[in-house]
Amino acid sequence: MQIWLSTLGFGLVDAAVLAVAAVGFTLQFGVTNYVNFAYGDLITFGAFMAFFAGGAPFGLPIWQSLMVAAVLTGALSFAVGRFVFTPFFQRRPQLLFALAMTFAASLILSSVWGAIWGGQYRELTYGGEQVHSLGPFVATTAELLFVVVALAALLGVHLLLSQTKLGRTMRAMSDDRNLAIACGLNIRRTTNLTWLITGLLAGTAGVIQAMQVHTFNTNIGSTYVFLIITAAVLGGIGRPYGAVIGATIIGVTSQLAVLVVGAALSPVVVFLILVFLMVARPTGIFGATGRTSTFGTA
Amino acid sequence: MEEPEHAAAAVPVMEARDVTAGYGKQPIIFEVSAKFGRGSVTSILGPNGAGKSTFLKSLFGLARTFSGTVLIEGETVAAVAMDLVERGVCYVPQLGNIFPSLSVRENLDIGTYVRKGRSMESVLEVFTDLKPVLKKRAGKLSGGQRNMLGVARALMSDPKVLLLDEATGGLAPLVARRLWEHVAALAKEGVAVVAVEQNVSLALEFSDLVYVLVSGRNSFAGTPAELNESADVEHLFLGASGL
Repeated sequence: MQIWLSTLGFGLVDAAVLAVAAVGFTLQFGVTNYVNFAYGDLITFGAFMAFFAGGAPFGLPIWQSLMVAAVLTGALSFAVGRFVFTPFFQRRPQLLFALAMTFAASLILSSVWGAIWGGQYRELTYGGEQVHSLGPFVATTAELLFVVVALAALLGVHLLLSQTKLGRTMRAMSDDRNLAIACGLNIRRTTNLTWLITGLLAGTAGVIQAMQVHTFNTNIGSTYVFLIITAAVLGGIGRPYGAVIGATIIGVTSQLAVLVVGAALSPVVVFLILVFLMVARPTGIFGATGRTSTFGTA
Repeated sequence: MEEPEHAAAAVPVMEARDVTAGYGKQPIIFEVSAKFGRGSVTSILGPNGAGKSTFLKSLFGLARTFSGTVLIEGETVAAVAMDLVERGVCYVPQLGNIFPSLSVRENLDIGTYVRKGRSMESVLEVFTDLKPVLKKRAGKLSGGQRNMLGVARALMSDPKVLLLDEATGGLAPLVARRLWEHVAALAKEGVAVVAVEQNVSLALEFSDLVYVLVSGRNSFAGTPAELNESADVEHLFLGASGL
């Protein structure tokens, strides 16, 4: 029994990190309506920025490195969104073109990261190996701090969405973009700020994920992005709170599945769950955001 | 066609002059002109497919305007939604007129983001039905409550002109009447209400002025009483709509 509970604990740590990444991904989809494959490359960028901020000559403490990485990733996301995606989507709004565009952006960014930083593994660790018992769970100091950072980021997103004009405008655009336009809301500004915010979340998630796996290379984001998309789809794409639930299901089941089928087959279990849930509830647990505005386009 | 010279339209808050508009490369309405006066209710009537909704959308920049001008208080304006809302023109679509995942209160709040206007209390005094459901998700509201919320949200910005696209579409007769009573009350407060309406009898009862579009062209402009007396329009409009 104890092994199950400890494994559940590991799953919850995984889930917390994944939730931060998935919320960023799903928010960006909700507001702009495009699946951004380049999101994984922002995560990679975040991990590397923290690595360099913490190394010579800067030598920043890990928490400052985290903030620097998040801000720089936010800035990169803003720049890519504002100067590459938005102008392209305005000319070619069709879904297939947009998919191809974000895929191309992903390939370009990952190739650039590979060219600059090579394939070798880097190490990003936060000491804190002391083990704590919390009821039935055991976790290291570092893992507890990952969860705290993740929960703080999620609380920040919750407050943004529920308490601020920007957050409500983002939710309104996510619900019905055409009605948001008809209400005179500032679509362009909100879209730009959404790129920035989702970049902040990608950067944060990249750093925690890198610390959690200890060693990473330029593939960290491109492999992680599939889990992120799965969590977002599971919760109902475009629904931030759904993404948290989706991430929790994936984090917990992937760890528990290791006990049952072994580490090699654990991802199979996760994706089978996705398939079955999609059959039972095609729009995800929370239902995808509505995309069927009925009164024409602007 | 002749411009009506009724008191209500004497000083138009909003005016369309010879507007030809549609979607893509296809015009749907042709050289339509209309004046909307402060404190008056104007209905746009006509058979299905006459271009009523397209006309309303063209006033708000949601349809493509090929030629013609839109004026607000005598000044030519570009029909761009964001600028128009700032100037006090609000558009409430027929469907998709609420943000379903936002609460009723949040929906109303959004009405003040571009142009600050009325207090929520004053809007809820008009739309009393929304008071008990403020915390509810708008997507859970009934059809009638949704349409009222759509109009109430527009009202939050204290608009000069309220463009309503079939606000009573799909509503039970009593609910539709109640919504019209609210709308007429708004006009009494000075708002220029422009309504596309399928329910002709309700529209005639509550309107000060009526325009009838047939095949995208303006075929009548006058008071409800004049419309009732007009044999020509009866043939054109009522014959075409099968009423």
